[in-house]
Amino acid sequence: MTPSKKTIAVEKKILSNAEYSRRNAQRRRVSFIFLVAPALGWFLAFMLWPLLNMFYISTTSWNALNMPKKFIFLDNFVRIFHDPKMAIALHNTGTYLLVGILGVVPFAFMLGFFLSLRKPGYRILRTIFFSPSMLSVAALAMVFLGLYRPNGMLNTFLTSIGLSALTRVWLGNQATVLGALIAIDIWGGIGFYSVLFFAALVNLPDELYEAAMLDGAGYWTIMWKIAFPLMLDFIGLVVILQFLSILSGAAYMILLTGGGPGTATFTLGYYLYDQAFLSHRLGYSQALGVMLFFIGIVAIVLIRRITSRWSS
Amino acid sequence: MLNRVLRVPKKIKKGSDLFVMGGYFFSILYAALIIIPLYFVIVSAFKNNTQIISTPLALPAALSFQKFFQAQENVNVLRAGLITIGITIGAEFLTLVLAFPAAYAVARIPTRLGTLVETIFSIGFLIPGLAILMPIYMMTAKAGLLYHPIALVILYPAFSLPLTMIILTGFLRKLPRELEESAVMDGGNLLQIIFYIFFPLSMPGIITILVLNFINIWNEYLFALILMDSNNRTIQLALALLRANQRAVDYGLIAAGVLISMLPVFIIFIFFQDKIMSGMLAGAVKE
Amino acid sequence: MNKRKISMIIALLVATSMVISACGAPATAVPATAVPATAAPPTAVPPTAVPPTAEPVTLTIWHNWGPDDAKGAPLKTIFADFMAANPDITIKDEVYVDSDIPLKVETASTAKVEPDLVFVQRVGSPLSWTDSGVTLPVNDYLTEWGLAGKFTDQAMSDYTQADGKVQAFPLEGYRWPIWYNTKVLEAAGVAIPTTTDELLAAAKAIRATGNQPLIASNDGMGVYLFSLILESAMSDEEAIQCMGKGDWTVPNCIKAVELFVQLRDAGVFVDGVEGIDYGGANTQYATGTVAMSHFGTWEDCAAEVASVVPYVQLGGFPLPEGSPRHAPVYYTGFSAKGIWITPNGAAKSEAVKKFVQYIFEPAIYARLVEQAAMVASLKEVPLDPSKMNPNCVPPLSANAEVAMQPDLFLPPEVNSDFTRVSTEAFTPGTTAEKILADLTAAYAAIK
Repeated sequence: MTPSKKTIAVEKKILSNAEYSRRNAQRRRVSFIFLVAPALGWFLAFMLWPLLNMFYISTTSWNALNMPKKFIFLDNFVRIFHDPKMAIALHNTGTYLLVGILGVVPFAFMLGFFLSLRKPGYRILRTIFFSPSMLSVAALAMVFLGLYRPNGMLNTFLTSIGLSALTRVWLGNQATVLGALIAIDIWGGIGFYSVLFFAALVNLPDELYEAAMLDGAGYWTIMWKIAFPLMLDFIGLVVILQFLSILSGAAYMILLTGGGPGTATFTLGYYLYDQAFLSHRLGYSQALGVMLFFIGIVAIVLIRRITSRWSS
Repeated sequence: MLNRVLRVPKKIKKGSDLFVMGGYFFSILYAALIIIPLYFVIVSAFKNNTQIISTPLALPAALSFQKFFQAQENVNVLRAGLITIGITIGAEFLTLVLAFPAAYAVARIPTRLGTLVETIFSIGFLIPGLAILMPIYMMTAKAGLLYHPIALVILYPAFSLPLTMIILTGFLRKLPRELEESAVMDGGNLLQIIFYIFFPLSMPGIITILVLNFINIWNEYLFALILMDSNNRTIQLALALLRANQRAVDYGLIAAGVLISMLPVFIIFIFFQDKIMSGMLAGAVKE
Repeated sequence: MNKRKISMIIALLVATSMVISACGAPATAVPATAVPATAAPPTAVPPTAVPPTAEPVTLTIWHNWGPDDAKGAPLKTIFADFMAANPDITIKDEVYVDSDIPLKVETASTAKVEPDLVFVQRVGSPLSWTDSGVTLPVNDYLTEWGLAGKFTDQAMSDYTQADGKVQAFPLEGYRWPIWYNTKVLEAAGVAIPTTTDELLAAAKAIRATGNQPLIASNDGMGVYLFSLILESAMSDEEAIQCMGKGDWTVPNCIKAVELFVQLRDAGVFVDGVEGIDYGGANTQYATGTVAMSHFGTWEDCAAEVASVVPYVQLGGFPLPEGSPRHAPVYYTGFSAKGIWITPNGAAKSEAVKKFVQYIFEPAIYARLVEQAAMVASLKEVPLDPSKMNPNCVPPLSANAEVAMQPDLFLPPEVNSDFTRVSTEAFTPGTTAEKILADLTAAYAAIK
């Protein structure tokens, strides 16, 4: 605070610097609590106890919502270590994450940047890019079933352009099924996140780009040398969102493949669903939930650290 | 950008033109990849199963709206859609009212409590929904709100708060420090400052979370299933009923249901898109 | 956009959302506060002797027979006629997705607001309901309400637990045979196959005419064809050994897996079977280009297959040489739907008794059989041929033997793994050794 403001005391007394700072801090704290309390209270009411509950149940053996629980300490976690399905699930989830993030974020950013240039027709493009997100998961499943069937649209298209050698039983072939599911995510994700990037980028001042152009930079350079660094935090956020959504995601596996064929699409998220709803091992499923929870925390911290180091 | 008249060197202009052309090319290509499946859904709503499977992309033989009427009759898709929209609007509004002042506090009021609060919200991010199903059900039943959509309007903000807080705090942090000082000089209490100055300036962040939260609420199935009854179905419950009521699936029926459910969403998106974007641009103009 | 406009838009949004949310029907669906029953003790709970009263009662019933199900319409008439005959009883029925009903019932039960009656299968979590108190055993109701001898033996045994408690009133049976499209078979010049050799020959002939032999889906439904084929090569006792207990060293079990691989490699299944979903299988069969499929009674009257219904004959799955079975095998059972009674329902036992007696009155029950070809659980159902739904597949008349339905003896923990191994099995290139190894591993993991 400038010296002149310091002399504006709330009371008539002239306070010392230290006293003023203390009262100020107190007042700030009061305002802070007043502003934060509703949101925090709302959140804790619904999430805190159930979260603790999740940790508690992960230490039990529990088979059905109305059956008794049996306390078994950390047995569930020991079981995770020895579980052969864990290795498979980790491998599949890892692949999904790698392809799902690298296949979405860079392209979403580039498309978002292009949209933010507001060239003619950008509004229509923006609406189109966003529309997959408006389809419910069940509708998407129906669409992609129609695409991936042995006599579905994809194979028919490939045959019609003479590439019938490339036709596959996409959902039945262990080599292609995981990629087929990831493709659904990428298809919708690029459009969705590109609109988000648009919203973030469009707020950058015009003068920024103009100055760069006068200095001799083209759009490509501007995109990577100016927009990208400024957006690093937001990009980090998008990566976190994609990461968490893929980590616990199971919708397409449930609707289209059931984790198969064999174990080709058996991921961590599906494993949790399977143990909770299909195999009736609620305790173990919560242990998996706890594990996913910690993986998520580590991921968030890492991604944040990377983006902050990158921007400095 | 280049809409203004600038004396930009020819080589740069050409490179930028190339970029724009490339941008259009890939955008249109991607747009086509999106439109084709959507087109598939649209025409399927007018066909029967055999036509859908054997000639998926052919135009329908006749424009019979029979499937639409049937979808409406079977599970009352329109009502489900309206209920869901009502829930979405209510929950989004509540989330914003709760989160914006809190985000301001965390981002702009320098106290140590700030980091603690931020961490608490971030953890909420990672809780799988299944874990909290039972306790929330009991709470709703005890409050006498079972089977009433208000229950979801109250519940969903709790799910949206973590993400909303993270994004809004991020945006609010970026705004210049001088804003508070000039506002204090103009007079006005804290709430007025927050609402009249910071709110319009954070439009990009607000739009972002409105959009993200909308998706999550629209697609939410588990809690809607458990907390609602057959009179107050949300759109996802209604669509699921179209599909699972019969093992022999009528794809045309599902397509019709999907289209009916998308229509209000589309309209709202297009209508508000213009209003919000123009508000955003106005907010971006420096005072 | 200035501040006033923002305020107006926000006010508009709030108002709209309130109006729309308020339009949601208020919570009249919450049942009247029933006397909460304690968790069911091991002995059967005698029904409370409530004197007949003219007080209005509402019975809440959850089921999945909605407008798309052939049984939806007759059920609606049954409800309507019952209410007309009993003006003091109102039935409030709610339709939910079948697979969602157990979860909904269980969560509601914990808060003691569960429905009075539930129509659901005896598969999955309902198996534990009697033991955990979500529903009450109906042994005493059977005797006191005069329904004791009315159900078929198989229906009763399918609904009786090992400890003698009957979990629910068997409502609906199901049949899950092989559908033979006689038109396609005739075009190929073959009869309905009853042995593996005939099946292999038929497959060749059918393919020669440009059609496809046997369609299945590679998901949670296709696994039942997988197990049916396995069971065609083994006896029920052997099935319990390997499919029930996980001992895949039993010789006939090994032969069974080899049989499956042999059929697959000989092209008995349609092309691309490993990537077909149930809906796709259904639709493809309805095009009349596929000779055989594995559909259950829920398809019998479905509009989607109406075009091929005139040619369909039901039968069992052909037997391999040396099989201990005597006739082609198929699945049937009574765990398709039962009427379960909850503690809330037990408190309204007078009204529930009237309803249960009503729906199981043969003349009333007959409606479900006539109009939807439902497999009956009652011993005697008088059927009026003129009321039979002509769009339904005629009942099974071929010589066939019942194989044990896997849900009855497959351990629930191994269910999803078993399904995943079956999807592998349908994939070309998987050897019998791999299938057996994966099966053994799946069962070992649950020990």
